[in-house]
Amino acid sequence: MSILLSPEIIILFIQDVLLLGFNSLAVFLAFRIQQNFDLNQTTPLQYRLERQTYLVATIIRFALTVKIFSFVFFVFTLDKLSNLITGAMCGVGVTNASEYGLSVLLIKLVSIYLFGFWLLVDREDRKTEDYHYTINKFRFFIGIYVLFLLEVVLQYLYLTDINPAEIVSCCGTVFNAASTSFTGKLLMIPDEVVLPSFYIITAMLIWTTLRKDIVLTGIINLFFLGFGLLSLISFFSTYIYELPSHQCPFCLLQSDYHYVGYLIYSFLLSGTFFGVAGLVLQLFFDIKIKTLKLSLVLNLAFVLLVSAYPILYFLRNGVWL
Amino acid sequence: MIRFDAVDLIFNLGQVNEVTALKQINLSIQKNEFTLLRGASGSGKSSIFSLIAGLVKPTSGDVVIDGKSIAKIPDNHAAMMRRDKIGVIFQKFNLIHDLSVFDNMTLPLVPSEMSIRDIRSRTEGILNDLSLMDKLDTSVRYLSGGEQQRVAIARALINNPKIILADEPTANLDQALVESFLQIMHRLKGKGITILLASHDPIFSDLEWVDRTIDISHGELL
Repeated sequence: MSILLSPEIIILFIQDVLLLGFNSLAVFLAFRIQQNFDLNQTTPLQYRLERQTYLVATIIRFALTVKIFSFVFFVFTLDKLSNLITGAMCGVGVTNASEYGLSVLLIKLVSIYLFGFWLLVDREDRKTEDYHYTINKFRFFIGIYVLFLLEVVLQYLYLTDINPAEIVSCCGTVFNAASTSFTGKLLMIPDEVVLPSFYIITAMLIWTTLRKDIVLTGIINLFFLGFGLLSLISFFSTYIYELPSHQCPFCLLQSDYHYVGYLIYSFLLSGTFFGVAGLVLQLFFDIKIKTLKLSLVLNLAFVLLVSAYPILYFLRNGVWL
Repeated sequence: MIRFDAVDLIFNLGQVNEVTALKQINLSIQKNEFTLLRGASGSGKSSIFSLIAGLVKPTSGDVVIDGKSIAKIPDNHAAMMRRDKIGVIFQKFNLIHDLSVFDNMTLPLVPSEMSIRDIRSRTEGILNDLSLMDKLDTSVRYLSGGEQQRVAIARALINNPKIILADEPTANLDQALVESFLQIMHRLKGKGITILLASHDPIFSDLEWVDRTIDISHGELL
């Protein structure tokens, strides 16, 4: 049976076709705008371009917002497909069912950050009376479009490459310290190193946010993302599953664990997004935005949520795993 | 206060149904001037008003209000400029028939964060001037044409505009109300407001406090 007839995959394909149409139209107009836009001109072409900026920005805003939310749907789809693929117990097995799986996941992860940055630049641009960031905004979109195209192609290759009859390795094998894979090597780092690092980075994050240091907070947020994911997989997930040998970033998205993974990842991704956004917008667009506090609140919500699992486990059982 | 620099306004540019509404308009209106715009139907009077209000953008040229180009700013900012500086009295009233007089008048003030007390007092002051106080809570659909026209005038005054654009404002008023309207306009001019009025009514041509009369025909100033 082909997995291409799964409703979730059909939805993903239809969505990609529609958004490809929207974004291709937008990139064509964006190219023309960034090439010819000159606010000092009062010519028919300039007035037409000024009108088009609003239309194009609205199209892009819609398309990118849908793409950001569709990342959640993609993750849900991976988890759902595990029922159809031999050996897959969760999204890990489905991701490994094709050589393109990890690339698609990573490119989608990078994309949602970039799409979000574009939306923030657009928001700031709409506040100005002189189309201050318009040209750079559309140049940025042209770059994003290339990434979007790459994602669409990779997702197509990935989903058409999956053979449901082929046996795949799942989380028990992939996220195992004994594994020779990259993830396996990462999991070999002892908890005594990962956990203190994670909490030290959290403390640094609080410190830099209170000092309103946009650059340092942005950089530390990148470390927080990395160590947040590593500590989640290597340590905290074992308390969520209440199994010392079960280390998986995907199973916590399942109903057995009350879909808590969606909440955990939402806090981590949105928190680090707003933390890095300040740095990116300042560096590349000379825009100062006040998102540090929001970022800290979301990041701390992630820390509190994942930390609650081992603490509650200890309180209930009197021992650590 | 208001400046037009070589403004063209062409609808459906480059298409078979292309219509030129305004041709190379150069115009300068000073603060506190009362300007009467005269011209036949379709001559371009309403187009000039739409450009000043930022409701449409020129095809070429520039429209500057109070030192700032309303043609060159994005629509959301043009809307705010219109809200803060301009009052418009439309020829066809443009009232919301299911709302009361009070609601129609105060709708433009919703985003201004004024206190309800201030809104009420301002509304009552204007309605008293226009002899409409007894209609405050009446739904607009139950008002006569003349009364609706006066509500439209009242609504244009509610944001304390620096500029008033009036498109055939007395077309539906009886003689007594026209006199009352003229008194209000005169008083507003005395407060330093710039007024642009499009009308065929000869009563405006005879007024000594009309500073300037501009004639327009086929989209060109005469």
